[in-house]
Amino acid sequence: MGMKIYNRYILALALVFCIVDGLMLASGHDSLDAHFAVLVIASLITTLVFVHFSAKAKKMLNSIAFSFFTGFLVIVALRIWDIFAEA
Amino acid sequence: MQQAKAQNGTAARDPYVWLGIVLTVLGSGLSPLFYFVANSVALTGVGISCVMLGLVCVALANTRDPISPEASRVILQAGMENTASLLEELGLNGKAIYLPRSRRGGRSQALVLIKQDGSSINLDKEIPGRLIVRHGNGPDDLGIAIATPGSVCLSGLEVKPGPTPDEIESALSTILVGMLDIASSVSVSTIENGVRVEAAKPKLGYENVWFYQSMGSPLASIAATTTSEAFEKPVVVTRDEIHKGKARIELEIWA
Repeated sequence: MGMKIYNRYILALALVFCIVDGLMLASGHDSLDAHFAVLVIASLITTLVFVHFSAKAKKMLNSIAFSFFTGFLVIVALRIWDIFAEA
Repeated sequence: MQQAKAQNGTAARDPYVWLGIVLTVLGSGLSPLFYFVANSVALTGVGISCVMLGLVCVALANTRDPISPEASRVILQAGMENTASLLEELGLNGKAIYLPRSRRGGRSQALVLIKQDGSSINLDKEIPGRLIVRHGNGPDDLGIAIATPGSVCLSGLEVKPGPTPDEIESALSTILVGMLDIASSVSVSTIENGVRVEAAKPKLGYENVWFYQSMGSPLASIAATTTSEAFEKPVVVTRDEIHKGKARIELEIWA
């Protein structure tokens, strides 16, 4: 029985997140900002690979990706703020 | 109102929604515990991953049709049997001519000729949107125009495909792989007077029945409708077979 594209996407995303979490643990990073940023980038890349989603699904995934990316931008902005504050 | 309630009920029971809610709640609850109590960034990252995956599941659940694949299959089967009965009763077993929307008043349909000889056919002008249509000046120049699965699927595309193999391949991949999940991949190449479509691991194959002889398999029908729309020209299915787990469809594009 073939898997629906949604199942394949969710499984792929779960697998990618597991790999990212494993790599971050193995590398000994203790920055939550970096961890979140890598997760966001990994989710964006995985979503790009699945190009055959319907228009409705693409629109919904784009809005989710936008909210993740907003979180990523907030982290970047906070980092920049810290650098300027230290200077 | 009742329909909206029924749809909401279906969505609430959707496994993706439940999976999404469980992951989001689990991730949201565990992340602060891991961060503040266990003081582990790696485990907090796992919690955040759960929240992200949960949000994706909930978002995808809202894009699913409330009707189940089993119900869709029953409706498709009933529609095909009705069309097959009509074709069989009228003794029509000639190849259907797939017409683009521009030739059928905004609806892409297939025309099955009553007289098998298509030499007198005049498809230059728009054909009236009726079941029984006249396509020429002779008394036998009649045919029946029927809706196909592909004509419904075309409305799900973001943009109308152009007449290049890449654009047709992209449109067919979106329909067959993304929307309907009846093939694992699609490739399109040009041949003399038409295009060849190959679909890997097709789930709806060719059967030697009246409906398929005239209209082609559902895969061929969708491919023909999409190609007809892409070229804005009538299209006929000339080859429709499954070979080594691949559906091979050849479509002739009429000038």
